[in-house]
Amino acid sequence: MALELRDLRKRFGDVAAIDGVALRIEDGEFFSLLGPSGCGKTTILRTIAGIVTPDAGAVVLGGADITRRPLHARDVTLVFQNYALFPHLTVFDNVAFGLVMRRVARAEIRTRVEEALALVRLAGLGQRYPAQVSGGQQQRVALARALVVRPSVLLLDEPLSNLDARLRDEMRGELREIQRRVGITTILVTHDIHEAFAMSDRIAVLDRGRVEQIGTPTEIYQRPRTRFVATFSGQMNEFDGVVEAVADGRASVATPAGRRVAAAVTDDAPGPGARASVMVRPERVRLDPPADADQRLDAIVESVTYLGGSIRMVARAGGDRLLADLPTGDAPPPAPGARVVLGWRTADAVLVAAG
Amino acid sequence: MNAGARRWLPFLLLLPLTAVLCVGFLLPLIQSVENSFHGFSPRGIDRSTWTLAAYTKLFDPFYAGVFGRTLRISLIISAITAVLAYPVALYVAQLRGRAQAFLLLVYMSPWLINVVVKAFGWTLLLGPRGTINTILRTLGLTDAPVPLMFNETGVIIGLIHGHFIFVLLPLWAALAGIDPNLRWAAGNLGARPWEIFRRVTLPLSLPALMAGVIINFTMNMAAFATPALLGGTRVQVVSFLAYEVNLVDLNWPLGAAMSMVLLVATLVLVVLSQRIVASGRRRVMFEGAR
Amino acid sequence: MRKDRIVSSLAAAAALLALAPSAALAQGKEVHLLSWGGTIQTMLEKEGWADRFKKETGYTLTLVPKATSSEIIATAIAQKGKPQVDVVLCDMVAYLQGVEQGIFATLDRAKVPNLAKMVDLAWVKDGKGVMTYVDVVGMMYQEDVFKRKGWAPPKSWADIMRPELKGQLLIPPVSNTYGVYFLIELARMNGGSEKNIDPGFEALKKLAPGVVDWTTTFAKIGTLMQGEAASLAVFGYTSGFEIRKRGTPVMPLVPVPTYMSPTVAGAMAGSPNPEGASALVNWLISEPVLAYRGERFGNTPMNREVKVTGENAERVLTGDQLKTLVNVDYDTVLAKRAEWNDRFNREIATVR
Ligand SMILES: Nc1ncnc2c1ncn2[C@@H]1O[C@H](COP(=O)(O)OP(=O)(O)OP(=O)(O)O)[C@@H](O)[C@H]1O
Ligand SMILES: [Mg+2]
Repeated sequence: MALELRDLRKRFGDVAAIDGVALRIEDGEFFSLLGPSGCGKTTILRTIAGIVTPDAGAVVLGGADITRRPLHARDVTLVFQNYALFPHLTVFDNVAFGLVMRRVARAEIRTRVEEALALVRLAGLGQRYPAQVSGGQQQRVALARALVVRPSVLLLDEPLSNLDARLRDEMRGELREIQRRVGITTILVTHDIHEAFAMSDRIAVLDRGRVEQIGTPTEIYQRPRTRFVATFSGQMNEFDGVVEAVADGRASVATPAGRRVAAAVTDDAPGPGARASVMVRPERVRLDPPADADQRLDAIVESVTYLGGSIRMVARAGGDRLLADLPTGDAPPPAPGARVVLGWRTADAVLVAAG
Repeated sequence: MNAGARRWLPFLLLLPLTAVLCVGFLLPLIQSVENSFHGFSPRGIDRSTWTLAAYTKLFDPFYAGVFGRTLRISLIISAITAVLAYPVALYVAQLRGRAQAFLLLVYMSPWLINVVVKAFGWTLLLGPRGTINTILRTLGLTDAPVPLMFNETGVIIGLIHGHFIFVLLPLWAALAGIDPNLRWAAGNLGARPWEIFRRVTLPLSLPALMAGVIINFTMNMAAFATPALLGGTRVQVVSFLAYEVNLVDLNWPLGAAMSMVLLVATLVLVVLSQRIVASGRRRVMFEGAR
Repeated sequence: MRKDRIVSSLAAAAALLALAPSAALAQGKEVHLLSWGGTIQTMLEKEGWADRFKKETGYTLTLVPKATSSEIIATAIAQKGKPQVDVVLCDMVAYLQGVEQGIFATLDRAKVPNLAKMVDLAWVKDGKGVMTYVDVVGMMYQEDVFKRKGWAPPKSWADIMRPELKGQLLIPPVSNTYGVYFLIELARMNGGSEKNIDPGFEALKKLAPGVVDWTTTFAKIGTLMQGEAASLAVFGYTSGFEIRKRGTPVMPLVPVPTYMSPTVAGAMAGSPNPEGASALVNWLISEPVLAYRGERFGNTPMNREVKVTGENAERVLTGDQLKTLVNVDYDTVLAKRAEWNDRFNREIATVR
């Protein structure tokens, strides 16, 4: 079911945990809330679930305003950051909890709980207590418990953050796979960009209770609209300066050192005279650039690091320091001290207003 | 520190307490067991004879009756205390830290006052011309004073007040320690407030409640001053009788036998109640879905 | 004897711990008195009489305080064979229980010269102890209540049976010393005696429904009288004055026949400091101590040469009154104590 947040606001003392958040999540979509610790992600989920009452704004589920609906009457289930499994109940009973509350018939409870446990690959562990299963298994119990009631929306609060790297990778795939199969509208909260990119249809990047940008992973990564989104979503080469001219979807920026760099822009980009930055991802920077790479710099190599799939080169061009992630080829990379030419396409550079 | 020393250290640390318990508790207990099987005359305890006389005497209707009353009163007090303490503990547990500490101190305060002073205080409240009866009379609710003292009612009121904290404290600690996310999780899965209480809060606090009730119950069984002062001789309890038998009659064998029976009865009840809690823990949920 | 070895060695260990620092210094110079923590403790520790004892005899006096005579004697008996205390001071009936169990030494007239000044009555069990002073068993009534209801003040033991006093009575249980004397008087009043106690129990049974509480402490009597929960009590005569002094309008009286409740002092057999024990007993029955007890607490001295003056002199029995005191058959009381107590608990205590 589609879920809409309308100008949601919530303050705790003088902290604005949610500061005017508006977004719409489509039916069946896998949507992520991405942002640093303390930016209000959990608070947004709790507002949707009904644990926190917003100061202003509305939560609209499938067209119905559920902002004031009590906790137990909302058709959304939440997988808590710490799982919040009931320690006094078996895994089976934990999963059965929501069904019992919904007065589902006993025989049906049994089959649905067993299906749910099988779905999260926990068949046979039903009679254990939460303390008797591993962290990864607990997480799947929590997921099964939330899924088994077939809610309209599934809320996941950093469900993978307590797992080790390998298990986390595995669970990411599994989670996305289960979500696709069940087709349930899902909101994932995370501060891990890779997690958000790997799983989401769309992402909202949050900072200090505000939405900075909403978009697909590609849009967020390739066309960040703010300095915060650009730097939070990965590394960037930055050229700070003043916009000189905007024309034909191109803007050119002059840096204080007298360099001119250009970037592809949309209509709402900063106009001439505004302070702004041109940003380029390191992997868009090429060595000995081909003809279509119209931005070029002469640089001196400072260091070269072999990363397996790529090579990270740090180079200096006048006062600017440049990062370039180069493909590993047959030829050996240039040694430190070598003079090189680096370049990229204007279309690969973005312009953001000065932070 | 090597591994051997580390293994023995806990035992070493326990040694002083064990020694104190042995000297202060175990040896007198063994002595009591022995005493309870000896004969008695005004010339003192007769250690040359071995007899079950003391135990036989305890089975006569009078002593059995006193045991029965003690048990019944203690259970009633524990039950009422549990019912009264639960909402208080729930309320206190959800307050802010400072308010919690203050309220707990308020509930702790009766324990800081001497039992005898407390009992005299109750006398002023519960007596035929005491505060409560005066209020009842002024409101026209009664003509004759309601007997609140020198009967079981008085003892029950006094001991509920005196031993309240022993249920409240562990219960509060357990309730305050429950992760609030668990309640939200239950609500999120469709549980109404009452169901959250029944399925989550109550079962999670049950072991603490039981622990508190057991402490409360043993304190009730052993209470001496309050029953003596608020119940008088008409509400004879085992501790009172044991005092008289030991110190007035100097009949140590009978006194020891009474202590043994009291000890065993209390232990049996404690073990039983723990069994009940343990067995009630399983399958709280799904069995309820029928 | 072997029987009390475990108990006594435990007590010895405990006592050693408690006394260790001072024992080394004051070896043989300390006397331990096992008695009440009430007026005895006040007198010795707060009013300087322990210091006076030290000045007069050179011994340091240490009080081991207990709440009741029963506890005092039970403690003494637990120390049988290897006592840590030298002198015991408590109620007669309890004291005799100790005599029965053989824990007391015979007092030596040469070492306790004041024994010569005592009335004949004071001699306990061929010198196993001596009565220091006596209280008499009295009654007290709540003046306000009696005045308001227009009741005549009580005068004799028989007044307690008056029908209008039903529901007004405070009587000590038989486990209490005063309660024993009252039971005996009830028996005698109704044609019985110590040896034929049934009439006493029958009378108690008749009284029982009208008894507010079977009370064992004067503090509780005071509270109940003040709250007008009761208006006639049987208890120690001097306790009546104490309650009155604290502002509750009670009037004490001594009905005839007059029963005395003696306080007895004696030395433990095998006491650690027998010389000190004799000195202490001698001091306890000396004129200054007993005169002070009389003046301060209204106790009637058993020393013929003591003159009591001051505000409490009215409470102290005169020489003539002393002659009219009745005694009881303590041997029977002792033999029957546990039985009477048990009977009281079964038949009387729970009657409403
Ligand atoms: N109950 C509360 N009382 C006071 N402040 C709160 C409360 N809950 C959250 N906050 C504050 O609101 C802000 C947002 O908190 P929230 O838990 O939503 O962050 P988050 O994005 O989930 O962070 P994390 O990634 O660390 O979980 C924080 O500054 C936090 O301190
Ligand atoms: Mg969070």
